[in-house]
Amino acid sequence: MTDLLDVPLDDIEVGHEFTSARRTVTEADIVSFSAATGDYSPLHTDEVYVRERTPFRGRIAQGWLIVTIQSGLRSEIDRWQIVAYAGMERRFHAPVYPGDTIHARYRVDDVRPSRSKPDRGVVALGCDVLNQNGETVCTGSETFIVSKAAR
Amino acid sequence: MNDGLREGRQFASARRTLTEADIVTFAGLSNDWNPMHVDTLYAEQTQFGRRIAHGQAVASIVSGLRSEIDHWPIVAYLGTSRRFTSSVGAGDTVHARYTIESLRRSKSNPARRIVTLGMTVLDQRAEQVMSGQDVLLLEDGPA
Repeated sequence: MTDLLDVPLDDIEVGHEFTSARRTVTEADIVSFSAATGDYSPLHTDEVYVRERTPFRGRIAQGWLIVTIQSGLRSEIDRWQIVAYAGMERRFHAPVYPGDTIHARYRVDDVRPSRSKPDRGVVALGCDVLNQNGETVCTGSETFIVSKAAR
Repeated sequence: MNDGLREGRQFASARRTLTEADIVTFAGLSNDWNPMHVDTLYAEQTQFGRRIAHGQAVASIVSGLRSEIDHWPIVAYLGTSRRFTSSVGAGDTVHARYTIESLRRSKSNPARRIVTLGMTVLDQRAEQVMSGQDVLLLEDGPA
């Protein structure tokens, strides 16, 4: 589905809400992410540090791992004619532990034409990531530049 | 504990060259196979003219670059924001510059501190590729 890219800017409606696929975050994800990024912070790699010095019961997923996994969860966004990824923000409300299963909920907050380039526009999305208990683990926004013409 | 944190302090991270392997690894880790990252024929026709790294790949790799932050007594990562201002491709070498914008006691737990960092990411031409903020919860210390 990722290579269809058949939804241009004008087909994206403000107020539209949709949900992504789910995915279980595993021990392997956390270790792989440390290996790929070099983020070996003790929050993610040192069980003793986490239990003795943080409110968490064990090692937690990197915030950027959650953002990264969320970005690859299948959703309607996969079909959008995205030209560029312009920005994002997240607030992390609850930890994600190995074994937790997450999905994202999106809402189209704004669609507006580019001032400088008439062939594209800016789409602002609000997003929530929830775990298997319906608890919100993070909230935030995503900003994409989307083409008006389907390729 | 005096860990040297004070408002206005600036520091830089280590550098790192993003490689072809990083892009493919991130496509696999994230399952984001958007053609601008993995399809050379498609990417050559975009404004970037080449396959580019995922924004999250660059942000994540930068989060792992050695810096003073590695020595801070971090309890939790509270929030982040990024603006992606220029593309990064295989062969580009990036580093981050950080400024401590604010350091204050947590209102809900005065034994902990909240630090807000402003940051920019620069490539080998000193062009800014990303800017943003990070908010971290720290153990006790001077604030």
